[in-house]
Amino acid sequence: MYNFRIIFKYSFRILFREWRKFVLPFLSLTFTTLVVLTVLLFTNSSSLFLQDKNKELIGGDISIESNYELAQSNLDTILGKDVTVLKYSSEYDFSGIITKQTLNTPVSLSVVDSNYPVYGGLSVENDSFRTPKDNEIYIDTNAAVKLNVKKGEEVVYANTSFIVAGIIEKDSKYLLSGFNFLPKVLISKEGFERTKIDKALLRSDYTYVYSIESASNVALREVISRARDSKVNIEVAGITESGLVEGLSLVKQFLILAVLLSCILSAVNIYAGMLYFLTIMRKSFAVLLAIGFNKKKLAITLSFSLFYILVFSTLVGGLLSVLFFNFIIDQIAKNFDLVLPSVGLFLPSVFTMLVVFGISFASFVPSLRNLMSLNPKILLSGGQEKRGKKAFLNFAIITLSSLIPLVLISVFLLENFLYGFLSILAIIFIYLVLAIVFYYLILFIYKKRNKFRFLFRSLIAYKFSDGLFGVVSLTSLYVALTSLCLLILLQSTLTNFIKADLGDRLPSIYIIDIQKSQTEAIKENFKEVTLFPNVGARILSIDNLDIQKAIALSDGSVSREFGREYNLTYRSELLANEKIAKGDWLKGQTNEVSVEKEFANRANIKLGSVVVFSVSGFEIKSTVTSIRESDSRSGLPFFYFVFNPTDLEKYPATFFGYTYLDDEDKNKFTNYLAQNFPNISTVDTKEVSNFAENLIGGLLIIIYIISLPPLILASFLIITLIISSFAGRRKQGAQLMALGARNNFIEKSYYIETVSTTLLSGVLGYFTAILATLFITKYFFKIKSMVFYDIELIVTICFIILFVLILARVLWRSDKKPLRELLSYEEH
Amino acid sequence: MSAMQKDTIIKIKNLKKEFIDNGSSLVIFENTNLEIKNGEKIAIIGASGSGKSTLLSLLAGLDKPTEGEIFVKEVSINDLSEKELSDYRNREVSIIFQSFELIGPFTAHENVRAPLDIRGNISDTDIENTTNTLLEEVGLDGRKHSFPSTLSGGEKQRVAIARALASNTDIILADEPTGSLDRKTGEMVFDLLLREVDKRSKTLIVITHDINIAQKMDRIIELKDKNLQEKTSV
Repeated sequence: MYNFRIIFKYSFRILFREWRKFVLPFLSLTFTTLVVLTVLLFTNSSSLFLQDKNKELIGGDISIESNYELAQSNLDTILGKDVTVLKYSSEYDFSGIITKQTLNTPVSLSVVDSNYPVYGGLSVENDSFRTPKDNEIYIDTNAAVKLNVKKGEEVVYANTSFIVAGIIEKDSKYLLSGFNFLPKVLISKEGFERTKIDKALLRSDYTYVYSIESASNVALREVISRARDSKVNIEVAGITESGLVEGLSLVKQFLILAVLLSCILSAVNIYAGMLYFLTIMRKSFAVLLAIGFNKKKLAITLSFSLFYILVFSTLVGGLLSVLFFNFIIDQIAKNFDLVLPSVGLFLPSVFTMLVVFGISFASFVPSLRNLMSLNPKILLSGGQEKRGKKAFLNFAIITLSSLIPLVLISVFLLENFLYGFLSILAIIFIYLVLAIVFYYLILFIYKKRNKFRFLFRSLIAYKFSDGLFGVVSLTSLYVALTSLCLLILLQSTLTNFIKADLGDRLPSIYIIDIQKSQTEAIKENFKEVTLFPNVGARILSIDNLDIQKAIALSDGSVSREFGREYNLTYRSELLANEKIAKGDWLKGQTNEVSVEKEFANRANIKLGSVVVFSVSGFEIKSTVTSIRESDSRSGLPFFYFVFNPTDLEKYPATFFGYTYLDDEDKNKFTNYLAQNFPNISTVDTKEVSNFAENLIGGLLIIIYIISLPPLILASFLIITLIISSFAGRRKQGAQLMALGARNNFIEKSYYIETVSTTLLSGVLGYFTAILATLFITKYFFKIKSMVFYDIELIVTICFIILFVLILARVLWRSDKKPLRELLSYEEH
Repeated sequence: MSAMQKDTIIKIKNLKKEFIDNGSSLVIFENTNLEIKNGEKIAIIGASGSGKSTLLSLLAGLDKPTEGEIFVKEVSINDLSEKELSDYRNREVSIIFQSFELIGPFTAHENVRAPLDIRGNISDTDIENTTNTLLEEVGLDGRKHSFPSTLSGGEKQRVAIARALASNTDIILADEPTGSLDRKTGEMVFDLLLREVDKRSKTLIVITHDINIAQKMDRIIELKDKNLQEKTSV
């Protein structure tokens, strides 16, 4: 039976008297609790929200979408016999231009039936929604502002007048359809018939929404499978994920990485902090053992000290997390008009506590195990201990085995055992390799120390005498700087990806769905418009591989991507955003084709490959004469296949165009299109840019907030390592001073050591971070381009080195102990 | 267990200690025998590296002999488990170190009472009384709440002596107790130790290089040529 009274007493005494040495573990655990619990609360809340709103978001239980009108028999086949329909609604959506006198706005028009909406609803200003009559139109707030129109007033679409039946304030489907930058407008099917527009001229999306009797997941998955076989899109509430969920996935993935990094950094923080604590307290503990305290009691006493920290930090972190989560909910409600539901605290708190306890266990056990080898005999042999290779190996094995909780956390977060296991294994492997490299590097330099000047020789000797703690602190510094570099590189990569510089070539307006017969009139009135023909085609074969047949086999040998319809274009010149990577640009010969480079790579198309297309029922056998690079993000049109005009001119085509106009001419041009060609719609890039910038700003703030805790933890680690090396160096410096060395010599050597180890760890960390970013962006984010060089990162590393130098100087200058005292330096 | 004389408190029998370093063997002492009677004051002298501190660590139960046995109060300490050795260090022997070895985060008072705290089953009032009395006896009543870092060398060693006396063990082992002190302070501290030991009739084993200190003891034993030799004069 343990004497718990003495254990409680000593554990509290150690904690209160040596509280400074517990600051790092406390802060690390508090931050980890804050990060893990906030992320859990947030993801739980958003999942609940999405579950709750799922039907509203897709408009029903099942939503089938197609870019052509589906026959009733097709729809019945997709739904099958196991699904009983309760309510059904169909709609088609396309873009157009609405005008009111001289004002105009491009809009997204939905033509709805009397059952719309099946689920959810439209919130209409001072009114409720009802099916519009044939002369009525519902417009959203954006369109109302742009057209300066109110309920009861008249607007024109396709030269047909409509009375505004109401102003739509909120549409739940907005969330799912991603970020719809075109104002939304609703008319009835009868209303559309009044416009006398030929539906065939429009590029419409058809949506069929069903409310059904509850069906089994198996039956619903069969529906999904049949829909996909019919090459139509399908959403089933609670099963498929798209829209908002998909849009948030990038942030979620970054969130998981940040949580993982926080956990790992926290573990390293505690590991380094506790190892430092136990190293410098070694003699005091040896005395306790010498006067009869046994090792088990000592281990329990220290575990209790850490346990108090653990409980206190989870309480503080938990409280902060709840406050922070409520703040986030408030902000989201204010800025995005989304009310995320409150969630139960119990399970997330229990999980967070398990995570934090796991981290503490993982990082405390190796140090404790190391302490267990303590023999009070060191007190009689001048504090020197001899450590064999066996002790080192034993320490390494204990360290590795105690990382099991981290593996479990990683598996849970990544929702994949293999990924979770491999990611931690990779981190341990890198850490271990670095520790061994550092060990042998120090050993190698130590053996060659005689070749150096005294200053460096003494530095090397001290570094070598640091032993295990020296290696761990150097490796931990490397881990902190690697994490820091990794986060900044990932941040820059994501920022670049999101911002994707649209450049100066971005047109002011895009023009969509122009018919061949309309091109001349448009060109005549607006000479600056550039038009590109789009000829719809399907790929039949690539180098004799029957694409459609291979896809039908569903054996995975050919991606479904190649089965869809493509837009072929024809022109004689290369565009400003294009360049030839291989081969020669079109020379005017029959059926030569230029293929975009990335598509060519995906489809295994090479120079000289033969690609057969089906265009309006005719086969076109083309030979690839050039592989073309095209900057898809320049804002200029982007085509996979370019032909000579003579090859495709004879086939039916729609045209896509762009132009550069100032605001006044843009308005004139849009009005001209609305009055003369109602089937044509436009996209104003200025509005898109503004919308995108706001969205990007929001996303970047989220990314920065997520990056903050691991960055702070990394900074803590760096600070602790600098402070922990100080006490030892001060005493060693005093010994040299006793031999006649000057204070500035000792001071200089301390600065050199601090800066050089930070620089070495920084450089190695930077290179490791590049490799890790490459891996993460390619396999985790699935982004092709990454940032290798980032000026902010270089500046940050310089700042860290400067900060480390300042910290070292402050520590040195603030220590006014006389030499006599330094030579008999007590442990605290 | 062999029969021992009635008043023998420590018996060393055929003791051998050997260290293996990088494959080569270093024998510190071998076939060494010694008997120490209850209440005796013994000085162990010898050249540096002769194994004085090793002998002390064996007596303190901090190390195990390569061969032979050490009996304390007729019990072989070689056979004690880790837990029993902890109890042995708490109840049978006290150690005074050359470099004081006070517990850094503990005050002088807390350092002195630590062995009694660890022993348990003693009321707090008794511990307090013992601690205060001892601190008063060593002249540190006014500094009992000071931390080791603020004490002078002499004061630290007086705390260490008080701590050794606090556990009221029959045997006190001292490793160069004045080695870190100046001559005057050293003499003062050692006289204090002797006085307290005499008052309590404890067995004292002191390792020292100091002839003056050695001469104040009942017996002087020299560790020479890997063996213990009784000295009649120095």
